[in-house]
Amino acid sequence: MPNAILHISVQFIVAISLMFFTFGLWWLRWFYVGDEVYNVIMVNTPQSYTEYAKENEIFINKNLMRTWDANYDYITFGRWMRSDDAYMTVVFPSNFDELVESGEDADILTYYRTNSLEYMYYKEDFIKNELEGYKQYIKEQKGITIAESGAVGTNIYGISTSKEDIHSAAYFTKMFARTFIPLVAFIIVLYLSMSSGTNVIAGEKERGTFAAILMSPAKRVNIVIGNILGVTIKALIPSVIFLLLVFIPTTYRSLSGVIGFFSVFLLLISLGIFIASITILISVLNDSVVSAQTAFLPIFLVMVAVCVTCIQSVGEAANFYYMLPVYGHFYGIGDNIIGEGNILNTIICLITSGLFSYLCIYISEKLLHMERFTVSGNQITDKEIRRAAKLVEEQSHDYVSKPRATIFDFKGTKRIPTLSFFSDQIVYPLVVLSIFQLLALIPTAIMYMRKPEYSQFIYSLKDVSGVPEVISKSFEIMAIFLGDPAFLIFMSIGYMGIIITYFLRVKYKEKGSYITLGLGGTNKLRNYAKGLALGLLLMGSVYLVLIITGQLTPSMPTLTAGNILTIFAGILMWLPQGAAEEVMFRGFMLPRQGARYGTKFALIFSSVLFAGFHSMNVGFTPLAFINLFLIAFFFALLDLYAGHIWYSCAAHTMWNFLQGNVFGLQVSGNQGAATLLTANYTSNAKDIITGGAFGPEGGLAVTFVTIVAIVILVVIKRRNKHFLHQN
Amino acid sequence: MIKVTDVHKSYTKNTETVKGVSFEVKPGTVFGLLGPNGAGKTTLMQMVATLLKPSSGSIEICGITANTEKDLLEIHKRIGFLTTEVKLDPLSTPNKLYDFFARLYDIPEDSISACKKVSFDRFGIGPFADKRIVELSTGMKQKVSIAISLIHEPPVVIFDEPTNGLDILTSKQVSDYLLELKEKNRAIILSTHIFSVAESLCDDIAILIDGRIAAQGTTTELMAQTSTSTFEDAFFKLYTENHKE
Repeated sequence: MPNAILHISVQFIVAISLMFFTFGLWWLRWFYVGDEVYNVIMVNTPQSYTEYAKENEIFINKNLMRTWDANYDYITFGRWMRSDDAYMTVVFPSNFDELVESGEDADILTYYRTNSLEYMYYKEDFIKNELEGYKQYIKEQKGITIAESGAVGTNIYGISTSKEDIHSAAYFTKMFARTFIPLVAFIIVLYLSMSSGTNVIAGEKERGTFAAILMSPAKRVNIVIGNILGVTIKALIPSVIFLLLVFIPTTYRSLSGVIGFFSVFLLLISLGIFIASITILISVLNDSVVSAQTAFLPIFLVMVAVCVTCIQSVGEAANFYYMLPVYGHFYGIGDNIIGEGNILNTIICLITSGLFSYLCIYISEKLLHMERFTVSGNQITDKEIRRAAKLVEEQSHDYVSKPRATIFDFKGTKRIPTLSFFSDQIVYPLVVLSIFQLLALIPTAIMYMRKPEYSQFIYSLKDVSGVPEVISKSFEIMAIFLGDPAFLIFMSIGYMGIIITYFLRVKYKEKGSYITLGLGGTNKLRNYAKGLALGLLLMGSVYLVLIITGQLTPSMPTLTAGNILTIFAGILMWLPQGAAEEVMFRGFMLPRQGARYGTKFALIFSSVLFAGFHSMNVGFTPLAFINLFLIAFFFALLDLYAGHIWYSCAAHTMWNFLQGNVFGLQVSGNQGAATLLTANYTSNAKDIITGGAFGPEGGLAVTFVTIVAIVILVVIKRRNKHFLHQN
Repeated sequence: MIKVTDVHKSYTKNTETVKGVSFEVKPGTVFGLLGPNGAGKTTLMQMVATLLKPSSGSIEICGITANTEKDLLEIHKRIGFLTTEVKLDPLSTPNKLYDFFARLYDIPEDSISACKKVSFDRFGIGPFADKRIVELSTGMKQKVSIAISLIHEPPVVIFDEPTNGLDILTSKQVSDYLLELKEKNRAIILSTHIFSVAESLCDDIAILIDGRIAAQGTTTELMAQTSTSTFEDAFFKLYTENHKE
């Protein structure tokens, strides 16, 4: 039988190798415990640490000692760790010893690799055995406690120990009790409520047995409450048994355990009632089991999602969450099981979920008085009749046959529901803009991350709190990017992508011509040139107003080769940028909104959207909204008179280019980087006129100029009917 | 007992299902509603049974109009409603259902079993009392439905096509029971397609066509009105005269 022995041996060897392959490093670790050479990268190692390591015989791999200026450059640290197979980087400030000597805050930052459990273990080990010891050493030697770091990023660790030992069995049990047990209880309650709750009322309607109950002298509210109680009890029996099983071995010993038990019991009942009342409400709203279950499914998923959120933030959630239904139930059950429940929170949670259940009962009761939700016999046909009648009514003023206004030769498309129409008008440009701007940002951001300034910027994020600051930070980085010719080129490509997207939409979705985007007309090039002149006139007037009113004085900056490149790239960007915004807000919106709701509506609504889209920009004010609305209104009016958007495309481009790259002003909150002139605001400059951080588009100067422009445009058109009109 | 005055019902703006119907049913009489499918019979009966609210007009039952929920419950105590749409839980048994509805109708706990025995004996449900509804024949189900819908011995009885789909024997039993109810001085509304049933049972017949009562009276009166010799001919003549395409 030598063959059999060979066979078994081979299997054995394979199994052992597999084991080593899987747990290899873990096992090997035990052979090296003792005189371990820590594979840790030390950055800016201070003298005091070298002394400490020598005294305590800690062996640091000398090859891994580096110096680096940027403390927060985790990209570089990550690259080092990968190439040297180190599991951790410890970064000291370059003047660490001096800081300690003078008693100032000295933070030590640690970075570690998160892609393997072993690394995590090593890291914990190193911090516990070595860094803590060093902290102690500094304290003894210098009498100074090293401050705990409030650094950013998930992988950054100041010298401080975790409150709980996350490797202990007790900790595991606790986390298990706070996550897994409530989750199971939730799923039991949810599932049983769903299956039985949709089967009553909705199921009864479907089977035709509900009318008999409605005909009995039972109050509607009693029908609702009776069903809720039935569903609750059905859902609670298994979950209570489950929790009893959990409780018996854990917490019957103390008073807090008893309180915890009753709290959990009450929370479960309230959860059962809460979910049952939602199911019954859904059941009342539907007339078949399948439709009720379908309607309940999103709620089921939301509840599960909330559970997942709860699991992720166990022990860290704000107190407020403990008082809400579902969150409060989840946390409350978990905390009470381990005897750490808060009675007040539990009571508030019971009350809020009780109120919510009451609301559901109240609505269900009211609904049961309505024919729609009680008599199932005629219901479907009635609904169909109503729907058919509505359809006939809608088709009677369908604009396929007669659009309210024909702009840019757009004859209208198939009518879509009102809500879809509006969401399409708002969401479509938003999605297109986000996608293409993001695409342009990605390569730029990646390139930027390789630069040392990046870590400085990341470090400056440390103090950011609140949405406005986040927005202003994002515009700060935008300003940096705008000075990068590569980014401008990417943006240029992105805007062209937007225009192409609109072309494709018109061609394939509407099956129409590009002319309906306002891109028709003869002498396109000449019109574009006229538009550029118009832009020059408009922005020039704004600039003049600012100078005449003494808001700013221009000065010549020193032009460098880099600046010229940026300005050139700026031109390349503004060309498609202006055109893309015109296509989106004028070329596309005017004819489509006009066909459905008339010219006046299209003029106003498209302009509101244009202004609204800029509202996230930095320094945005109500006046900026009005100005952007006026500018958009002017362009829209111009396009309507002209019958195409070539003028406004060019004027838009010229407007932005002059602002950003010639006059050195902000463009809707974006600061252009390289300019021909520098804008020096005078000491008596007022934000209300100059627009402050938003640029002139946020100030009265632009208001003045655009109003004058609109008035002139309207007056000329009134006097001369053929003005701008192409045959 | 039942007084319906100028009742209209429309589900949508433009279509009216019931267009101004008035009639009265006295205790101890059977009022027959005859009409083709879609004439509005079921809608009318559901309105009388308070399951639907009339768009305009009033319905009075035992002197009560269903304005508040309290009125509604009072009317429910006085109405027995049986339609093809009121079905029984297929997984339950006649026994359980009887007990359930007896409690819903507030019948004293100690008299439930006695009532049940009388009622089940009357229809011969006894041997099937513990079988599930789904296992019962159509005739049996109908008998159980009747027993349960009249559990509270209401003075007003509304039967929507009670003999539909039943064999001759069971039909006869149901008809006999209706006559028995009439003798007990109940006010009964009966809708049917079957002319013989209408002829033999009803004291007063209303022909409902397109939501209107085209003619009303006893069978002989209706035949005289239309100068026809059979009730069937009278119905067809009324139908051709009153139905508009």
